[in-house]
Order: sequence, then structure tokens, then C-alpha cells
Amino acid sequence: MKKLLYIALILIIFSSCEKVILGDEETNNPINNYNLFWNDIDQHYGLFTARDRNWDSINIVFEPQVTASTTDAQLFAIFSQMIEYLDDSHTYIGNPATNQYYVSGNTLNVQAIDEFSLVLVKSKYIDNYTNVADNDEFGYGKIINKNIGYIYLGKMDDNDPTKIDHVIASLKTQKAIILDIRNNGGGDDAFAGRIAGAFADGEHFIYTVQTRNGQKHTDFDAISKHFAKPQGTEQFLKPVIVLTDRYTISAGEVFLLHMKSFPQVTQIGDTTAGDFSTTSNNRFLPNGWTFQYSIQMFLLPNGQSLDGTGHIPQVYIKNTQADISSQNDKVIEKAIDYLWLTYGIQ
Amino acid sequence: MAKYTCIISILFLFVIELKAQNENTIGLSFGVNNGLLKDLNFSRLHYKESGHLFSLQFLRYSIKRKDIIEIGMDFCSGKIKTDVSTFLTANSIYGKIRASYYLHIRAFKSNKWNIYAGAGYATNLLYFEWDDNEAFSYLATHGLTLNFKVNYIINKRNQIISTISVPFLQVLARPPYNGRNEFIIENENSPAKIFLDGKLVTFNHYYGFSWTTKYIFNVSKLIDLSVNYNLNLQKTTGVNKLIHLQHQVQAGININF
Repeated sequence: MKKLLYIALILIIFSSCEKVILGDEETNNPINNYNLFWNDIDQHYGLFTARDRNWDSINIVFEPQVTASTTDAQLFAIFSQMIEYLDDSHTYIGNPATNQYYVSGNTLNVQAIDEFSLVLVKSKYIDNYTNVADNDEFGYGKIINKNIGYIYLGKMDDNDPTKIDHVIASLKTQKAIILDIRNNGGGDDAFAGRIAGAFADGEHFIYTVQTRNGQKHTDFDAISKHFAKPQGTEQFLKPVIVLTDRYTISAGEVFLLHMKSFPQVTQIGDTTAGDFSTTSNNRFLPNGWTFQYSIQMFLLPNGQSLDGTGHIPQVYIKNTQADISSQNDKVIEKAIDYLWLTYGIQ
Repeated sequence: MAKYTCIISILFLFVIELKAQNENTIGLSFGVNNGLLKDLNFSRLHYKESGHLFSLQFLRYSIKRKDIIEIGMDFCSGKIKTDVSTFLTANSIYGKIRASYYLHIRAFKSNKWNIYAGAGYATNLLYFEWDDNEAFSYLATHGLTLNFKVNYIINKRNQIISTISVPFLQVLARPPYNGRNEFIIENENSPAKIFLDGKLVTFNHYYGFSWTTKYIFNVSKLIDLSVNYNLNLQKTTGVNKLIHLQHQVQAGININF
């Protein structure tokens, strides 16, 4: 009995030793943090090919700059420059402890935030704006003195996308709808597909998705095909203008993949961000920093990638901050003019 | 009414019959769980796990054949923490459902020592997430185990039982290479589909053991009190390997009938 107890005791003590069980802990120094960061992106990022990025060239430039005496501020600046090269706003580096974050390719996106004002749109152009969600990021109304409905979608995320069916029922007597997805930061692709289903004239093959699944930059899993299709009680098949800006991102752009497959839809505004992929899990470094990146490749049925390019509008127009300050939204005004000039709708 | 009387009578007779042939125990125990974790799919950092553990167990001992049937479940909710930063603390959930059969192999020293061997089935789930699923990983296994049990009866009121369980054929479900893919995204509201989407593996991809030592104090014919220590280890191999070790200490009450 005693022998058994000794064996048990030894086993418990042995198994309490972290190093024995888990192996060596990653060391927290600038060089190891750099190596982990570069390697993780190298082995998991999904868009090197689609965006034509040479990650090895980044290592050649930045690896020599990192030494044992590199400060946190210097290392953060180096990491920021490395991911800026990817020009992908799904990629960031951050320090949760100091709340400092750097998002790749985000300059124009941030600029676009001030080139749109929902408050201005609601006060100057819309009658009876009604919130569909708990906030005003999903709402609808009617263009003042026109037979044109207006829907605003500020994100592709809400508990219940079937709320769009009620919106369509409310706007079905309108001759056209302006669907505004400016300043849409994305969300859930399935939500986007369900909303778009309220405008679908039929089923269309719209894009494929593959997720990186190996250490080579070209390792991807099987193609997953995605279709736009009618969903909900009724579809709005009269002219629809979708308004976009540079801050129409991710699931907002997936929404456009659906919408642009329907013949009655026209995109007016600025080119979108060009960031389609689902993001990775957040990744963690020994210095406590976190980072994230794109892991998928979205392709059009013809094999073309819109990552890094975005959706180019049929009618290009964008606001400046000065336009918004002077209480003018040139984009929505252009959409109203377009409906009159193209369809005679007012 | 007659129908209910009939059902109750049958159940009553069944319990009497059960009692005549078997000794049955239902046990409930609470305790603490501490562990170590490294999952390369989740993070390259080391994590320390802590949380509370709840277990429920049914045991049937056949007086005639001396064999044992055990059915149990464990549930643990807690945190995994790294020494690197408090901002990286994540939530963890661990659960296990198990059913085992033990054949009495041998008794010696006037039946003070009894040895059993058997096999069982276990579903085992480990899930952890950081910042509302901004990072997550999981391990789910569904499969067969080889089990061994030694029972040492110290005296009429005290006994020690030690059990070891080794999984040998499992359906192993782990996240894909990049943590998530279209299957995960499409089924994020149906976790059961994700946790059942595994591949058949054996010791080359997944191995571990679960060792339990339980001290039982017999208070009365009806009630036992128990204290048990569990040591669980599981490892996966491959690119995104996982190592998970748990120490669990529990106190419980058992009802004999």
C-alpha cells in the first residue's frame, strides 16, 4: 500500500511541473516576438497570392532592424510597417494593455467615416426614418417628396435579418429604393446574404471561398461555392441603387457581391475597401500583444479576386468632409438624379 | 389512475429486484480543477487552467458476478490564464460523459483487494474562447477506452478505489489548420455539428489517460462520503498540437440503494 502511495505522489509532483508537461515557454524578447509574428503570418495569411505580396521581402527589410535592445515602441512601429505592406484592413497589431492598435490599409477607410453623416441624411433627405434594429444602423424611410424608399445598413449584423421582410413590405409601393451601405464595417456574411435575398430576381453563382490550410502560401482547402437567391416573403425587383464608400468593408462587400448579381441594381459612390476574407482567430505574442489577419480567398466565378481592389461603382462619386460640413450629401443627390435620368423615377 | 398505479407498481418491483441482485450508487461531487494547457491552434503561450468541477455518477455492482457498470458525467467551467498578460485570460469549458463496464478479474488477501478490467465509451469536450470568440479552440473526442480498477477495502467503513482509463480509438474533432473555415462559419450556431466533425484516430494522433483515486467513508447503509483526486492528461500530435493536463480534487456524497 505504501509503495502505491509513493508512486502516486511521485506522479502528482511530476505532473505538476509545467516545463516537463508543456515544454519550454516562448521567451519574451523582441527577436522572438518578431520571429513569431512574421512566421505566423507567413504560415497562415490567405492573400499573399491574391494580393501579390512577397512576405519574404518584408523579412529581408525588417528582420535586421530588430535586436535585443529594440524597444516596445520601435517594435510596434516595425510590426505596423510590416502589415501596412499587406494593405488589408482585416489585419491588425494591437496591445490590449495600452489600447494601442494599428490596422493595415486603413487610412482611406478612416477618412471615409467623416465623409458620411447619417444624421445629415436623415434630417435633410428622409421622411419618417424608422429604426429596424435597436440602434439607427438598420433603418428605413422615404426620400422627401419622392416615390423612392431609403434603407440604411451600417453593419451586416443583427439578431434577425428577416426584419428586412417587414421593411420591403413597407416600401413595396415605392418606385425604387436607395440602399445605403456607406460606413458599413461588415459583420456576418450569412446576414448579408439574407438581406440581399429580399432583392433577388433568381439564383446566381456569385463567388467561391477557400481557406488556407497549409504552410505553403498556395495551400487552400476545397472550393466552397456561394449563391445569391431569393429569400423572404417577397422580393423588391424595381430599381435599386446601392450607395457605397471606401468604408464599405468585408460583409458589406459580400453583400454587394449578392446585390450586383441582380439586374435592377446599380452601385453609386466610392470604390469599396477590398477586404473580403474572414479573419483569423486573434493571435497572441509573448509580450501580450495580439494580432489578426485574413485567412481566406474570395474569388469571382471567373477566378478574379476583388481583394485589394474592391467593388468599383458604376457611377463614381464621393463626398468630401467639406460637403458634409456644408450639409450636402452629393452621393445621395446623385442617386436621386440617376433614378430620374435613367428610369424617370421621382 | 389505474395506469399510473400499474406503472408505479412495476417500478417498485423493479427496484426491489434491482436491490436483490445489485448494489447501486448515485454520487454527486463538487470540487476544483487546476490544469496546464498549450494548444498551438489557439496560442503558442502556456496557460494555467482553474475552475470548479461538478460530477454526477451512477454505479451498479453485481453481487453475484462482482462486475461493475459505471455511468458518469463531469462539467467544469473556468478560466485559462497566461503569465504574459491579464488581458489574455480566456474562458474555458470542460465536459465529459462516460460509461464503462468492469469485469472482476481477481480478489486476494481475503477479498480486501479486488482487481477489475474493462472497457468504456467516453465523450470528452474541451472548449476555450477569448474576448467573445475573437479567438477560440476546442478538442472533442468520442470513443473507446480501456479501463482498470483496483479496490482496496481498508475496513468495513473505509475503502480506496483507484481507476485508470486509457482512450485507444477515438473520433477526434479539432479546429482546422487556420482555426476556422467555411464549415465552422456555417455551423457556428450548431456547435454539436462542429464537435462531431472529427476523424478516427488512435495513439498516433491522440493519447492520454484519466487516473482517479477515490477514498470512500461509509456513513451508513444508505450514505457514503467520498473524496477523490483525478489526474487527466490528453495530447494530440500534428501541426497544431495540444497538451492538456488537469488536477481535480472533489468531495462528494453517494446514495446507496
